[in-house]
Amino acid sequence: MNAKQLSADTTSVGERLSRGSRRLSVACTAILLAALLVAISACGSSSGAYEKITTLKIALNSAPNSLNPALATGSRQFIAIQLSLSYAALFHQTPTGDIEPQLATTWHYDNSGTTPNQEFEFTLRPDVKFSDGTPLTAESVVGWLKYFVESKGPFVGNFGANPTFTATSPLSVKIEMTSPNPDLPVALSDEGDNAGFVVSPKAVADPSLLNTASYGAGQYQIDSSQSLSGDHYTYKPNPNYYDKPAIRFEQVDIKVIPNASTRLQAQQSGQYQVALGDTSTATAAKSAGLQVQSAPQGMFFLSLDLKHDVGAPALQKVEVRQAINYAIDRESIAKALFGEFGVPEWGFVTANAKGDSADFHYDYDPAKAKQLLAQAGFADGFSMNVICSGYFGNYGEPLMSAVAQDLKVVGIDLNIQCLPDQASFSTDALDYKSAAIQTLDQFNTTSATYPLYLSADSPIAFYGGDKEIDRLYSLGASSADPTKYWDQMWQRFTSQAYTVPLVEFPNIYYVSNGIGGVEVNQRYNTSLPISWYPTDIDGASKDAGDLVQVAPNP
Amino acid sequence: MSTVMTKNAHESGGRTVQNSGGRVVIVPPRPSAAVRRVASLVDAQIAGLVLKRLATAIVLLLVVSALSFVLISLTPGDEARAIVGLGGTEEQYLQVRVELGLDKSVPAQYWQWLTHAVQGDLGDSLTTNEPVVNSIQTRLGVTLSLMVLSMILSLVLGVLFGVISAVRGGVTGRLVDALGVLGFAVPPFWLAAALITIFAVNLGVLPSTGYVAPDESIGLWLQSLVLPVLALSIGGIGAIAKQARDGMLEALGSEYIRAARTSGISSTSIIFRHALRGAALRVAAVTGWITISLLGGAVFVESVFAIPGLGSLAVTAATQHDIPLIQGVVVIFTAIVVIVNLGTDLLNIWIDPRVRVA
Repeated sequence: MNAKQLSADTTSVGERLSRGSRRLSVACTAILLAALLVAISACGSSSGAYEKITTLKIALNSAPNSLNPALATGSRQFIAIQLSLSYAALFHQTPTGDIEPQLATTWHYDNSGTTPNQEFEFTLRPDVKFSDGTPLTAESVVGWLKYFVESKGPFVGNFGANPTFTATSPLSVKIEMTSPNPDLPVALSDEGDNAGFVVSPKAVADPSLLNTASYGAGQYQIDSSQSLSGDHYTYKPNPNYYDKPAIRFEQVDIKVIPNASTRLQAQQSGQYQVALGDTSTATAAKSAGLQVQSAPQGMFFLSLDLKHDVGAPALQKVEVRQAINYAIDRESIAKALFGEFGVPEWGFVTANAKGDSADFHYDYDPAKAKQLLAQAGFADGFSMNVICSGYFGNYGEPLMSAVAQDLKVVGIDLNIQCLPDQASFSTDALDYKSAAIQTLDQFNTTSATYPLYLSADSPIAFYGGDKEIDRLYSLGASSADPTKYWDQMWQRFTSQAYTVPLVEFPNIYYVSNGIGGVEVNQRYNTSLPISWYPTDIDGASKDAGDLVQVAPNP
Repeated sequence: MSTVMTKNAHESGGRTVQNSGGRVVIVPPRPSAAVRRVASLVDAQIAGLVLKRLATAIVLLLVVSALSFVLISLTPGDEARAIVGLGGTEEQYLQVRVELGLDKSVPAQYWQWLTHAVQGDLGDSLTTNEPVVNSIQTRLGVTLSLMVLSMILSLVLGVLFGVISAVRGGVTGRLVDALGVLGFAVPPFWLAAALITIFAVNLGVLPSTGYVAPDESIGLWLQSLVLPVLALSIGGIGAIAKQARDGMLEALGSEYIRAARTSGISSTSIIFRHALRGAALRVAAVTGWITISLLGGAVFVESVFAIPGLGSLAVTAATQHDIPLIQGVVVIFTAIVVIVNLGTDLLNIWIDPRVRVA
């Protein structure tokens, strides 16, 4: 066979193979399409029709490091949402800020002693059981509170040093503190710092049980067989819950989706009904037709280190610190970086007082800033180091860069170092080598905020303390009306410019049609799923298992 | 005693002999000396290869685990500080450091970890207090599902596209080349987001996040992996298609194929038994590194699709400075790489026993 014949032969082989390969291509395409159709057929029904909303599906941005209320750390928004499902707190805080009974039915401060607001008593609801069947008693609450303090978790500061807990009767508990705290009902509520989430004695005796299961007296309990720590959690109704009609869903599923865009897309596709949002996707969520609820969760500010030798002696002068505050255009920065969800802050905000006032409201005034710097002998400006948390998106490096630009105008050079994670940030901050430390304060009561940022004993009260502030705090803590003194305390703190408040950090919820009760405001920034319920197309509240018509998501 | 064979044995070269009972039987053809040599070489080579790889694996695991331990210790911050938080006192911080064993020197910490690891105890997560082995066990299958399905899809579609384009040539061939380059260029992270937007949000036909275990539902398991597998395998499909196409073209133009044609072997047999086998070696050569690159791609894909695999576990462990968890993931990743490399070498030998593996 010659080359020409071989070539012709190969060509005819090629033609036959081409026909064969075309048939093969068509067959493969058909198989792929069939597989896709099989996958599609397993999809759920689309919204817009009548359906029973029996399962509440929530997407969170993170999970607590631990399901143990004494050890859980992280942002309040996702900690409270998870813990409140399976742990009823001693008190319930309403969206208007009122404290209502929950596991405790009555409470009062015993001010018969020398110092008011140091002894607190409450009475428990009778006939309540934990999910493991153990009865709720004063002894079990005392055991839990003792364990909470001994575990040295992040929120023990509410009780001060060396508190004592006593069961004065089978259902009555007395807390005696060495320093007054008028905010204990808030601290022990479901909007507090986890101490109120009472845990069963069985788990207090063996805390390792809390790694994968819940032992609370709340509406639900974790189904460990359907949960994976750090990824997804399934909650089923607690058969021992004391108020069964209040349970609105047959199941609650929580999924952790760290990526904000994925979280929004998952909700848009109908996988979840409520999700924690953030400023980078909030506008898109609104455009997608989701209900967007937002309230300030906390505030980003710069703590100025006046206690250590950090290479910025200029900061010791109050005029310099005030100049820094006047030099920053908070409103423009907030709008530029965070759009409609950008809210500037000029002072600390707590549940019982507000830090800024007409006298000490730092409006943007670079001319005044330069004047103050000249007055203090720093007309040529100076430089200082600042560390920031690089894991908060636009609240990290972009925010600090914007601040640096404003300070540059008045002659202050900011050397920024952003750390990639919480562990490295915390380590660097407590090395005390930076003049300013970007800090996130989660709005709380003054009695919870003072031990962290104002008391000289705190490792993160970088300014070093102020005796007048201590005096005003003590007066307020032991007063029937703390606000009278605490307002003055915060105004002093702001006028002395010990910190540089920047912008609010919001809690944002995306809510799909069919779910009601997700409500946040200035005083109530964490909406809890125990308050949510299925709704009909006209917004009427429904119970789990009711047939409802859900408006289709756009 | 000889074995009685069918008449085909005679036709294929079998010989007739008379056994001890006087019966005439046909015995099968003896393998040629060359075949016997190759067979013995392959057996010895495989045994040697496996032993060598095992020895290398042990050394590699020691080196990698020690290196990662040192690197983690050099990064600022530690888990004790993450647990205690900014507001914790120095006393609390030091107490937690002691409880977690972080007060010991790095070599001492590593030695403690190593002596437990060789007994199968990888320690407890500093963040969740769960045994690292448990955390890995629950997530390993997820990542392996992702990798195996992606590899299968990459191989099937890659070889298919490569063969078709080699045989049809012309525009199809150029299109396959272009797709191969595109597969490399498009980042899996971006592709994942695009797939979610199209199929989950706009069309609403596939889930955007989550994973369903196969023992819960095979259908939902597959459904949950359609988009992640697509995102992960695009690069591999392109790379394999290119290698398959180049290998096929080379094989189809070779002398032995022409000789096979002239000796009357069918066209289908030429393509799928002879030419493809020649191209398979090229495909096998890239299969190994594609599989390993899937491991890296899985980290991104698991994050985007919120899949609870080893990749997302590695990211969480790294940001939390959770040393035992990081070490556990490093050990597993290294073991996977070693197994994949060994598998690739064995595959090469199986395809072509003449290949001598270094």
